[in-house]
Amino acid sequence: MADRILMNKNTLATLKNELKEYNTALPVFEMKEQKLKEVVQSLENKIKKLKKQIAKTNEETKTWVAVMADHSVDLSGIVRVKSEETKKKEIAGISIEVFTNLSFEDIELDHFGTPLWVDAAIEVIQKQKIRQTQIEIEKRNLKVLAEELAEARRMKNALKEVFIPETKINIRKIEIYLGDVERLAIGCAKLVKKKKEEKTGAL
Amino acid sequence: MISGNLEYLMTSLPHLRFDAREQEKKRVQSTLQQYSHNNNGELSAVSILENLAKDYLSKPKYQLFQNISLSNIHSTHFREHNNKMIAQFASFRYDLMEKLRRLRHSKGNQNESAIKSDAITEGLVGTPLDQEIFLLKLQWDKLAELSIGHYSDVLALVIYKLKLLLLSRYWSFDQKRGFQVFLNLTTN
Repeated sequence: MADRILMNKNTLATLKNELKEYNTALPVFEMKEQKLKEVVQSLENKIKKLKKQIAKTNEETKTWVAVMADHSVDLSGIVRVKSEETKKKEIAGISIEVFTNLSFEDIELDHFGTPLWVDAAIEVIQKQKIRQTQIEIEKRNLKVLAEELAEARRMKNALKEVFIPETKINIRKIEIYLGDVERLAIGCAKLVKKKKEEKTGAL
Repeated sequence: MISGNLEYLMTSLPHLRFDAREQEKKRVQSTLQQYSHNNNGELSAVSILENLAKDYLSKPKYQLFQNISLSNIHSTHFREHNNKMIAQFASFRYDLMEKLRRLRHSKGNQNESAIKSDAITEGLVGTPLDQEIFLLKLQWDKLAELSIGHYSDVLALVIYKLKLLLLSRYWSFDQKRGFQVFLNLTTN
């Protein structure tokens, strides 16, 4: 907002309009901030939950993971991601991704030649990969939403702490100034009238 | 090790026990390493055994000894081998692998008829590691059963090699390395 303002009725009208717009926008940003805060919180909780599930599965797998040191099987060739599927969702006007599926390449496993543990390994690796993908997606969403949240918060604070109070002060200043000018004009007019009357009386 | 008859070789080899403890692994490996002429310690226990056997076996017997491994023992060539012991173990391993194949197939296929319960299916309990150890022990016991009466002949050496291969696989199960493999696969 400019430091120097024009002390006239036009500026006063403009400022009043601006104040009206600010007062309309403030609750919108407050609501947006509130909504985004809730979503960010829920995403953070979801990530925490997924990380916990990953850690739990890791601990459970540790009891038998020793078999994966067996060099006779190349698991990286067996568990290969085919595609990551997501859909779009709008939250407070922001588009985010929602995980729908992670599909793996359909590899015909040789049940005769590969060790028995490979089945369990594939299952647990796929499960963990799905969770990792979900975390990556939610982290991407979180980044977008956190930026939007910061922007909404900045806008709310700017309106609440700067624009609205400054505009109110400026309106008041102009109103006082215009009031003073008006009173001065009336005073002058009265003085001129009185002088005129005195002149005609003397004649 | 000085050259001599097969009996000498057999008695010189470290006794094998179905045990995956580090001390047991070190005992077998260090004993075999002593017999190896290779000082850099890079040869596997099985390779050392193969090198040692070369001096004690005729060319055709050595070829047979060298060719036999856990990855091919189930082949038709060995199942129809004129040596009864080799044919028996080859068939045993083939049947085991076939049973596991059907079992795994039936798990993924709801329509497939259920596999009849027997000692093998009943033994497949616990974690995948427990199940692998059970399967290795099953083969170990079969070899022990077939080894009766063979102490210093070529079949004793073949059995020794197969047991060493089973043990090598058992010893390769390592939680730290396995977990690293698992983490690499799940995070990449």
